[in-house]
Amino acid sequence: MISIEHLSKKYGLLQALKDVSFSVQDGEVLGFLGPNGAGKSTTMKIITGYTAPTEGSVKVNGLEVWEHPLEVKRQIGYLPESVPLYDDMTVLEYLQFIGSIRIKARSAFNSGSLPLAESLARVVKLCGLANVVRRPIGELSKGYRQRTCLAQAIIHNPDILILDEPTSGLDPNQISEVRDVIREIGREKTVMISTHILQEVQAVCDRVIIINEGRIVAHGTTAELERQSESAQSVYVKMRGLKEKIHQLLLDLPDIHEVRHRDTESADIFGFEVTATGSLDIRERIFRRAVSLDTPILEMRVERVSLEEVFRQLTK
Amino acid sequence: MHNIIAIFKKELRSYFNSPIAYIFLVVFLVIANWLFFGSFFLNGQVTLRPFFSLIPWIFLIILPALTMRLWSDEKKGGGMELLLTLPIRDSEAVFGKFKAACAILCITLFLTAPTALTVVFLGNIDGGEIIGGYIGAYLLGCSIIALGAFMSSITKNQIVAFLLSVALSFIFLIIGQDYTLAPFSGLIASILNFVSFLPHYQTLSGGLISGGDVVYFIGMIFFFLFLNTKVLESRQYRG
Ligand SMILES: Nc1ncnc2c1ncn2[C@@H]1O[C@H](COP(=O)(O)OP(=O)(O)O)[C@@H](O)[C@H]1O
Ligand SMILES: [Mg+2]
Repeated sequence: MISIEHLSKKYGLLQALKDVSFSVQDGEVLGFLGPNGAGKSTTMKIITGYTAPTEGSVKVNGLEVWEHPLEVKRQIGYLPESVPLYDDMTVLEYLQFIGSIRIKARSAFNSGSLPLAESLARVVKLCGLANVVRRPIGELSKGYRQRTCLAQAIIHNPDILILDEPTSGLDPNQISEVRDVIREIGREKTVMISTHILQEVQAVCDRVIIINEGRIVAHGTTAELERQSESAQSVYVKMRGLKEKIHQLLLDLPDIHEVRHRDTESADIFGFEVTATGSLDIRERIFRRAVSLDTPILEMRVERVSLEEVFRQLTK
Repeated sequence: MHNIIAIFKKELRSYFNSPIAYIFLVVFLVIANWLFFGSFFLNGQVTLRPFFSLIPWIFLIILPALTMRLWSDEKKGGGMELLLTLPIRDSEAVFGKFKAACAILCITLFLTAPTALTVVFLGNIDGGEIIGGYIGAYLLGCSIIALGAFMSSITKNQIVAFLLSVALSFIFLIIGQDYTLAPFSGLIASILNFVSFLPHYQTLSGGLISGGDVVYFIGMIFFFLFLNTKVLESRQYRG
């Protein structure tokens, strides 16, 4: 489990993180979503012990990263955004290098890790690297480079995985391959994955944190976020009557933010979109008012906004 | 130790995967042999003195070329982020890299041994002078490597790292010389003389193997490696 409290980070005058608090539960896949420059990588660099925060605390399984860097680092697998590889090494040499360090550190405290050779075989299979193990990394395609770097992050079978934009720059096939690997790992591990792509969150994450300009602007499951959003409260209602009368009827309801004409089915059937202020469910009110004014409702439903819309609103 | 060896092997591999180690070896051996046999054929003298007296100035140019990429390269490729988030101490990474460069130096010096032995057989040379010369050369070289590694840790740019290393090593070489000491009075002069590489090296290569000089070089090496580690740690200063 990772728990982050009141995290702030300044780069000179630029405040990259402002009082960020959240936690990642054991066994959960958390999506860390935000536009470029939001502070995702900065947060991950702090969790992995690469940089220190200006203020705040980061605990990994109860240990402050700051005070116990080695104990924390051995439990984490990290895929940095820059995909650091050594072009002159082969895939195998690279994985042996990282693996020998990570596995040794882990096995000193934990019996859950395999010896190097078996670990290598496992990640080569999991990440689909069998065809390229003896090739120099400098000759690999972007997709294979990404997967090689992912392999180094999971080689010691860590409890916690931090993946910074693991699918950026890949083509659609490669993206779905890498997501499959992440989903596979996420079944038993705690995973935190940053992205600026919504579909990614929907595809692999249990829960989402949306960050913008260094602040958390929303968090919850994808379904919760869709519900929380302002315009998620909009209701589509189709009624029979005079267009102006229907419009007025809806406007006269309490706590109404906006009423918009959407479509016209026939000369006396009109569809409207009604948005309430706050998160009220206004369907029942619409029903009662319509009954009292003898205006039949032919259709009514809550309009689901996409997560895309939520994201757009929160980060604009 | 395990981690230091892992970093050492990785670093040594990348030296031999790139032309730099070979260029270093060839340049050094060509110069060394030219100095050996040059003095032998031109002067008819069989001596290693020109070789050992030129070594500091050869090192001054070629060792920074060996160390300039040690950290600068990692910074450019993002390797720094990976290396420093691995479960190793910063000092282990510093030592592993330092040792790799020292290993190249060691191999190079070793390859000059046949030539040196030839000279020994041809002439009548004091064994202490040769052993002292090699020990001095190795320690001086390691000190310049430690200094160069430190310089490489403060910049992303290899050329800048190279130039800084050459400049600083040059200063450490000449501050103990009579012509730099001339304007200074007693205490300052003796401090400068003590800090400088050259007087200690000259004692050793003169055949006088004193513990003080060996300790001096080891102290310098640790001092620069310590600074190198501090530079890596500075990324974590709060503020
Ligand atoms: N090393 C750094 N020095 C100065 N500013 C930085 C540094 N790293 C990131 N920043 C700035 O901090 C902000 C957050 O960056 P980052 O965490 O990389 O965002 P994200 O990963 O969400 O795109 C950006 O404005 C970025 O320019
Ligand atoms: Mg980023």
